[in-house]
Amino acid sequence: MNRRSLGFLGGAAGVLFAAAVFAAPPSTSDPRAAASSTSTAAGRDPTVLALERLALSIQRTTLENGLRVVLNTDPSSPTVAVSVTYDVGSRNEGPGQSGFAHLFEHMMFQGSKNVKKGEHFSLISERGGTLNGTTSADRTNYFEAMPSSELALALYLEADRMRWLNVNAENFENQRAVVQEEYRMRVENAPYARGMLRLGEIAFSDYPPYAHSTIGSMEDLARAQLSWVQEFYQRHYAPNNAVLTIAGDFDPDRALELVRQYFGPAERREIPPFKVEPPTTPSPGKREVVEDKNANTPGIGWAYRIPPFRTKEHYALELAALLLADGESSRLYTKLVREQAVLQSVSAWTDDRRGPDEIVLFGVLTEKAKVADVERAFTEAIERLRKTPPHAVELQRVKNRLKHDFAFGLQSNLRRAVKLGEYEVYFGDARLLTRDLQSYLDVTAEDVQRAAAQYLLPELRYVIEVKPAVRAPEVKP
Amino acid sequence: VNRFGARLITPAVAVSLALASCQPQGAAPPAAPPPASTPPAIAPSSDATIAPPPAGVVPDAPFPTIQKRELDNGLGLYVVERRVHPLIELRLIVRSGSATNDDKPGLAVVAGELLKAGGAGGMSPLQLIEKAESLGTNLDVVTDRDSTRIGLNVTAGHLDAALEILSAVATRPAFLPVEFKKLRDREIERVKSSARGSAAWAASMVLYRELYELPTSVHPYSRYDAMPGELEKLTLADCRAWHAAHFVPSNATLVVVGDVSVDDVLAASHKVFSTWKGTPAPKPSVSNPFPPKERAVYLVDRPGSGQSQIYVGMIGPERKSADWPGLAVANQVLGGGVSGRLFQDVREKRSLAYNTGSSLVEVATGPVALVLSAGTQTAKAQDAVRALLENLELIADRSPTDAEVERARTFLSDSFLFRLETVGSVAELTSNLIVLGLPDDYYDEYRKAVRGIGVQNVAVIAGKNYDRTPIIVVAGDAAVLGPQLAAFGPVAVLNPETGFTLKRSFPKKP
Repeated sequence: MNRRSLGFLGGAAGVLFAAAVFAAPPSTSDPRAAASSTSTAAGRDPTVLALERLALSIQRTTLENGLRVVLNTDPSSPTVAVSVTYDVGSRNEGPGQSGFAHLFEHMMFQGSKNVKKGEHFSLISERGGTLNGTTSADRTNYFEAMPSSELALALYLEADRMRWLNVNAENFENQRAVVQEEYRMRVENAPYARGMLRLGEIAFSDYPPYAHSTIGSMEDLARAQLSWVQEFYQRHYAPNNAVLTIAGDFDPDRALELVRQYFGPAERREIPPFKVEPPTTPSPGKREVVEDKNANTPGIGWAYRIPPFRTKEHYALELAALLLADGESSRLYTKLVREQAVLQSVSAWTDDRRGPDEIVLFGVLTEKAKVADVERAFTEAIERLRKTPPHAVELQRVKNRLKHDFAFGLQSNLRRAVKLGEYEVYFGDARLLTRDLQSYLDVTAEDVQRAAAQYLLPELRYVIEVKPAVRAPEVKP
Repeated sequence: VNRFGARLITPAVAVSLALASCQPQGAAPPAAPPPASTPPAIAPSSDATIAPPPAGVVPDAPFPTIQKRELDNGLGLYVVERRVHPLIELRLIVRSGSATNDDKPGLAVVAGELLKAGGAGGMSPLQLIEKAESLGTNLDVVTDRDSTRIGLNVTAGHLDAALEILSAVATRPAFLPVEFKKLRDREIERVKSSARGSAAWAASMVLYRELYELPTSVHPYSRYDAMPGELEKLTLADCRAWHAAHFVPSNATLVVVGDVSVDDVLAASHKVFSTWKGTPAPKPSVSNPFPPKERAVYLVDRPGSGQSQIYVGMIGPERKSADWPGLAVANQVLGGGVSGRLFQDVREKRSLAYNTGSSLVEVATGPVALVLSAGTQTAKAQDAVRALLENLELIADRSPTDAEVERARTFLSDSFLFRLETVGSVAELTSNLIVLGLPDDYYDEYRKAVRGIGVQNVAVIAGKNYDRTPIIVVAGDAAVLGPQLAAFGPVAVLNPETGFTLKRSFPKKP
């Protein structure tokens, strides 16, 4: 029932605040008036102000070995988060190696020179911390959230595996099997997942780095070799290919001392630059049907290629996605889910990739609905975006929702550490995160219409229709 | 904008924070403290082992003070002032959830959602949702076994507007007939999709049905969700009656956490809630379920499924039992997070699952459920069931080690700090106190109890609570699994798409 799932790493971001008391805007019973401007008579908007303060609380430095360090102090909770973001993701995988960046990420938890198998988990747990790692097309990150007294432990563990990863055949086979179970869970056993993966593949078929999914294929996972682990490690896991982010309650001088102690001796290595230019002419649209035994009703996914994250057009198209399907007041939810009941659920998003990106529309049909009718409605919605600038009230509502996400989204030290690390890796400056809200607020109704008209072209649409697989006939006992 | 960002991002480990708590002393692992002045450099080519840095003194952070007030009509206010961020979280908690459905499964879910979806306070459904979403927030109605929680969050300065929305939804729903029909249809679609698409949903339906089985009546916790035929029978009159009976001020508490003062909340809620009236809400009658006499296997058929969702469950003590802190430690040792036995054994050693763990399913009245789980490829489901049963037997029979208990105690105590970072999390914790009927100082007392518990005590509590006949539920491909799983007990094969009717059965293999 809760449709908006701002997943832990969900995209639009949120941002935290420095500890301070902010002037409250005037209270009013009219939400449109109340939330419609970024400056009020009572003072500056608290979210905008908070982002400015966040920017001031960020320090950046680079060690001699090239490790970039982002420090974000915030004493409001006695905790600290550490994230190491490596500039490597599934976009760096070669042909036949799909899923390997993620499998490698699992190997990073299997022990290093001074940390035996299982110890990474037990050390973090017995000091009251939590941890995880994630892989996307564009980066891989490893993170810990710790009580503020345990910063040194997190740095020790991250440095140890950056410098001396220890793998063996037994661990490798173990984690290959674990990742295969992950694939079964996320893809084989989940409705519409296979269709959505296929949609990404056809949308990026002319751009090899993104033409396969991050989870990869079972065939490629089965083919992966132990020797690839060392090669991949040597190629990508060097201090000069990583960003270390610390966010929370810590003393920056003492933290930097620890960082130098643990990471300083890590040796810089030559990192092959990533350089794959997207084709200049777009590939024609395409349509495929995917059968799905977990789906009870058909699903329909549309994708269009759009410019990279944090370009002017991308900001505008993100707002277009919000207008279409963010919240129950959005255009498609109102019309297709609530009024016409042809969809059970609808979503629209951008992947927010550093390379060429995509905007996706996805709906799950109701039993009575017809795919053709839903696609006609999708077409109408897209054409309306392309021809008519959105109404000011509607545009302001989605901007308010973005602002709200910034305000609430990065309260936690861990979320902030992860986001700042991504921005430093992708765009060379973590502080840009604090300026994004303004970039969204600056988008005009005409910008949205113009970007939609330019990129959401019917002849460049990629479509996946998910068809429920026919049920096997019941066998009588 | 990618609110589905997790789609392409594949985590190495899925970590679940068990009910936790905070505070120091605990951890004193190996290692000699390095002198602060001259930190030892890590020699790049040295073979010498470098020990982890010693544990520090974990800062104390008690649960923030809850300021309680009550309106004349009995509506409770729980206010937590937290002014570090200009944010406010609100929850209207009504202490009636799906356990009050009686013989109408789905009623509380549909009636609760209809408060919003059917329009309220003179606003059409669209006007209502636009009012909320213009503030940036979602307006969520969450129904669980013991409560209905209407939640939203706003930036500072919008307290009045948020309370107006909560009041309209809770006390002046329009119950538009046309919207009721649409909502009921959406719910029917949802459960049909779950029956086909979700192994976890299908297995949960059977797990709770069997765990909370009563010989002659229906236990209020035995229904995990409704089935299509049951939803079809619901009427708008049912929803109105349920709302009238349960949405009364004496059965409700308003939780507000964040950049507010208790006086402001009192004044603002008085404005919008003081005319709310109603007689005390009925409470469901709960008899204790009977534990199963012999181990049985329920196999929910998902033909062709490549992975099986496995649950091994049993009934535990009451949530308010004095054993709770010890049980939380035992559960942490067994299957909490990444250092629990299930993760270490079933996943990291035996390669049988990506997701595996154990949890305590908290309920307000009567016994809770203890559940072990794993998701395993069809060919190895039998091995995974065996692995879960072996670990269950071990936790009941053999004492956890000092190191295991120490680790679990510190984790539960200290990781609680993270649950105090956001106003949303504090609002959830505060709401849980209300729903579970726990005292205001519960979390600090719980953390103290966890930190103080001895290994022997944990062993005794584990023995008492885990040495029970479990129920085994597997959602997977019955054609392959049926004969295999008969090794663990008689197997009943159920069809999730026909209301879990019996498809066939296999006798227990000798």
